[in-house]
Amino acid sequence: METHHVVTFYGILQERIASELSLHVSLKNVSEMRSYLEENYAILRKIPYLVAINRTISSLETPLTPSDDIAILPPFSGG
Amino acid sequence: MSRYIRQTCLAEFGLEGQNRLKEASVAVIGAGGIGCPVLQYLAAAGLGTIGIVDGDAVEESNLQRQVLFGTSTLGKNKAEAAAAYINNLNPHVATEVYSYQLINKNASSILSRYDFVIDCSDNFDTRYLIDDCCEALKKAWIYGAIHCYEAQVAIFNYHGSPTYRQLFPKQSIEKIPDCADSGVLGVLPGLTGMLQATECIKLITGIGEPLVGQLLVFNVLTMQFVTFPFAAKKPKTLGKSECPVHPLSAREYKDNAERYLLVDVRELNELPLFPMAKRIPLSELHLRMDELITDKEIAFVCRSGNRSWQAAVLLAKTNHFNKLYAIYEALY
Repeated sequence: METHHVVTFYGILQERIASELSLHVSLKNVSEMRSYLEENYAILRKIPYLVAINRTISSLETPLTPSDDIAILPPFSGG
Repeated sequence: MSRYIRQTCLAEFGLEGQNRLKEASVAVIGAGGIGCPVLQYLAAAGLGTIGIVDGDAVEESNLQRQVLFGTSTLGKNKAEAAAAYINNLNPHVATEVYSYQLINKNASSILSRYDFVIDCSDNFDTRYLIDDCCEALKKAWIYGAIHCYEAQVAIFNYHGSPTYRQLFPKQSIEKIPDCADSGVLGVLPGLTGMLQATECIKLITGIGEPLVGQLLVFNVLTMQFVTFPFAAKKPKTLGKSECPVHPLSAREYKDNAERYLLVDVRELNELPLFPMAKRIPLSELHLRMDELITDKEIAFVCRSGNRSWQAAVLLAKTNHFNKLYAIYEALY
């Protein structure tokens, strides 16, 4: 069964990747999602980012389910 | 005093809140798009002492958002011009002007003088410096930063709450554009600074629920405000209230070289060699701390002063050292 995760990007990642992406892969947890994203989007190997699952900043072990609200948050620079 | 009557009549705030503001001191790092509203509202509210740190001069392209300045202050130092504005707005506020940038060499001595620090800077070097220094000083700081139409606000290191470096351990190796690169609507840093000033007033007066352990992200095009809580990690705190990390000039080191164990934290392939130094790259330092047992005082050195400071902060967290030195310039 194909799984599908919707990911929202913030800040510079919105410009460099997309506002929102649908990932048609099965990913068990945040760690797997980070590896998948970093393999496919080189920018994520260069810019640090936080992963929020259902609006809570999550650790690598946090499990993923298809209905999760996933946000990718880079730091902002300007002032 | 009728100046503050509209806020002292608020039930939670009251005269007690006003007295707390009067007793408080805050360092505002950067008097730009975010710093201007922070300074303006904290001064109007009657904060006791405000330190203003900014080495830049007012330029015409600043005036669209840096609302403390005008045509008559073009070319003037921002910290000085902001202090002049505040002195007119509210002469009961004591302003302390630092008309230069916050750097390794001066950060600890400036920030240690204030109860809270507000980051209104526009770059990551300053932000990490504030974070490291506030962690060493056990001081809370209020973060604000913007990107195009979005902004982030959070409070770090409040009574052991996570630090910025715990959220973003490594600096980006790709340039993340600032306002000068990608443009900005003046209202965005305005809103961001107002939120930071609000959090600052809440921290000082103890009213409400401050934005501790949460990252607020908002977008002014969609007007969506989202707070992302982050798990409370066990903070590594220092056992002392004094910052054990001290800046050291190359000259100060050379004059008393025999006093120090010099530790070069550059990577192994970086030149020139410092024959008198022990080489432990910053990336290995956490594994090789046992090599630093010495009767001498430890001074770290790198190429430009960033890694030496990080190394000293890292070691300071172990609580095993009373005094650590970071050489803040090249040692050639």
